[in-house]
Amino acid sequence: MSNNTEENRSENNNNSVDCGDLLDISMVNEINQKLKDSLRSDNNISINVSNIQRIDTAGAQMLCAFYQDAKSKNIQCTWDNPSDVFVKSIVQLGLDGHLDISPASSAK
Amino acid sequence: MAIDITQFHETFFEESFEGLDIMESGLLNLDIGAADNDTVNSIFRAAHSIKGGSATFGFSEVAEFTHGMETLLDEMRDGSRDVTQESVDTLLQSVDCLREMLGASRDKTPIDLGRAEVLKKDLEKILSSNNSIKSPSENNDSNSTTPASEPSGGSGWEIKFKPYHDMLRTGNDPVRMFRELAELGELSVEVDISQLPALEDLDPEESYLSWKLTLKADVEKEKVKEIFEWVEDECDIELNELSAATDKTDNPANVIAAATTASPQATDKPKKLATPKKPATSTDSASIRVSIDKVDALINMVGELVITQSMIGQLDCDLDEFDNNRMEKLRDGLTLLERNTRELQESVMRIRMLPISFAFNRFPRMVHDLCQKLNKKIELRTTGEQTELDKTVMEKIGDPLVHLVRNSIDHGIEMPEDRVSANKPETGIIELNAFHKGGNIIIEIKDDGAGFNKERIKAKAVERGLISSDEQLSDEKIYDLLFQPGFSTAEQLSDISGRGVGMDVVRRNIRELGGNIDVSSEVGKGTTFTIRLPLTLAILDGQLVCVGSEIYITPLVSIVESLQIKKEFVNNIAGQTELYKVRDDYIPIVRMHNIFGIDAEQKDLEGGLLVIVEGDGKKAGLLVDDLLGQQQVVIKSLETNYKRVDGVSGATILGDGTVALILDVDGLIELSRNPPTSGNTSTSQVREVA
Repeated sequence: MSNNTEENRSENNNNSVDCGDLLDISMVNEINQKLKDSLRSDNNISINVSNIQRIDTAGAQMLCAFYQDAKSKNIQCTWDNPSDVFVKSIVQLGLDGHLDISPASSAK
Repeated sequence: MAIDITQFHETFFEESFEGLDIMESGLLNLDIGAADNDTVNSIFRAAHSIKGGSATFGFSEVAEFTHGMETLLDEMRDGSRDVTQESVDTLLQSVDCLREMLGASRDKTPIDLGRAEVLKKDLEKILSSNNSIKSPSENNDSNSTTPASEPSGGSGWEIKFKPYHDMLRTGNDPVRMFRELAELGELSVEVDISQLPALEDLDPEESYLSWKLTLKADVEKEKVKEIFEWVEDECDIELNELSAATDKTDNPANVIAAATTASPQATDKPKKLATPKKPATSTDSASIRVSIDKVDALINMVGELVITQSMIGQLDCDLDEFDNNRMEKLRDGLTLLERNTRELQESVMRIRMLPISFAFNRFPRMVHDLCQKLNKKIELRTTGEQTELDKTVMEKIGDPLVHLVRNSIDHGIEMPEDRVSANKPETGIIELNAFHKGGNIIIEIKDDGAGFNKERIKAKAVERGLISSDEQLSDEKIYDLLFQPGFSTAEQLSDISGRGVGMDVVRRNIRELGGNIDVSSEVGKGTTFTIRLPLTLAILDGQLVCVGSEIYITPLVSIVESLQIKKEFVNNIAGQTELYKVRDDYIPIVRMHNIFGIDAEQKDLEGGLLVIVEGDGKKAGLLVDDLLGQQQVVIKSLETNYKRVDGVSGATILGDGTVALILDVDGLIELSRNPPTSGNTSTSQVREVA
């Protein structure tokens, strides 16, 4: 994990969650807490997935649970500049439809 | 009065699973063409018992299925049928199937009759073959069961994949599997998120999703199965030929009914494609089998307690007449009571201890199966199978061991031709060794394979930003990189990466047990993984020694002798290391008070007491103030209750309630040779403990 992960995460505010560059099973508990906190605020949420260099099923599944919860609470959630790796993994797992991510939506 | 026979079900299942283990181990040891009669007989007897028991308890499907196996085994044991590879393989598959059927019966879940029907047909085919066994190349008829003749998917495969909750924790990742599938052809993925809970209720390390995958590609089933082979114990998976799956959807007729009306060729395929589910194992049992010796020891102890109680009871008749004579008897009685209580406690704790063979038993089959798949030749050697381990630890160490052995088979041991060209024997060797050392259980997984390439590991670590390119690392630090999250799953590093084998998960599981894992490796020579597990419930024979005001326990097994120091036998090297001459040996003196930072009574060597200990082939003399008694102590893990302290393997509570540290002789010797430079010293750690 690169050093800038922690720096990026420290910049979180109430309606933005930064997923850093690594969202795998070793990181899910940490991000899970941030996602839960963000859902409590009722604000629209922006998820920064622009730096993701690796995401596994545990990470993708957690984002799916989060997104479904946000939808059910009528909280608008947007994916901020999704990275190529992120989009590919989400599509690979068949979760693109559930996360409203288009296979062509990657920023880089 | 009618007897409720369900009360015997648990025993029946336990015995049946043990019978299956005997069958599996016997089948793996059978020599093709010249089978040992005793082995065939023991396999037959196990099958016969399972059949008889299942019929008695009303598990008719199990009894009926076992009947076919029993018939084949009966012909083998009376010599009317040769033992062939085909029959052994079919019987091994039947054992797996039987294990599933028994598991389903025990758990009161539906039995997969489809798989049983297919195997029954295979057994019938062998029985009707009249010993004219064809080789796979000759056996080109439509009923062939060899993998080589299994059909390719034609238009493709439909894969239903549902990971068990814990699968992700083992480091296996569907993203990677699906990526590999997509490389075989056109893959469409349909995910089912209906089991996904709300975020508040989600355990992010558990798996809740399931998938229906459609792979349009002309590939053989084996290719598809290979991608899931690492997770076959950790998921429900069903592979159906795409056209057959469509037929099944169009016509949801009963599979068994179809089997009786359609041709064998048409009906066998979809059922054969079902992959074995997670096999039930005897170690999953909530109960425990205890040897009669241990129970007898327990009963003896209880008998002794009753005698002691009556002895003390006699003294209680009249307190007014309590004279010195009675006081003496009371003291004797209390001493006896103390001893009985301690022995009773030990006996009870020993009941939880099981030989590690319970964990090792699964490996011969695994090695056999993986060798067949990978076309490798591997001999598995095990030692120390009787080393006892706590049942809970045993159950939890199983999965990490499986991962490590699989890694050794897949990535450690080279292909036979590569070994020959490297001047090594064609057959590789994997050793599983278990033994006690320094208050721990050590399990070694050793292979004589290719070993790790340190430069490649370093290069990979630099690429991943884990270390800088100019960083100098010791071997230990380099191998430690293997356990970094995400590192071991790197596809590019072929000698360490498995499909989803996460070494970080292996280490995490071992650490959760309070243990640790080390690696040593040499390119071309092989790799050894050493797992060190604490004996949280173990009892140790110890010598109590006194240093200053502290009491330490030295394991009796480590003590060679004790002697009084004579100054003329003491030598100094470079004014620092002190050696003591014992006969022809020079032994380093370890000043315990220095290591643990204690104010000792005996700082002058002349006249001091030296306890000569031996660990890991090295000797050292521990300078102590006094030798106290010897006694058995119950080991409490220091790591669980505090943290690891160098030179100390655990702690115990003495009779007066004080805590005494148990010395780790290997660690002490190492500590005396390479004292810590600063900071995290044993001195400061021990002071914290105090």
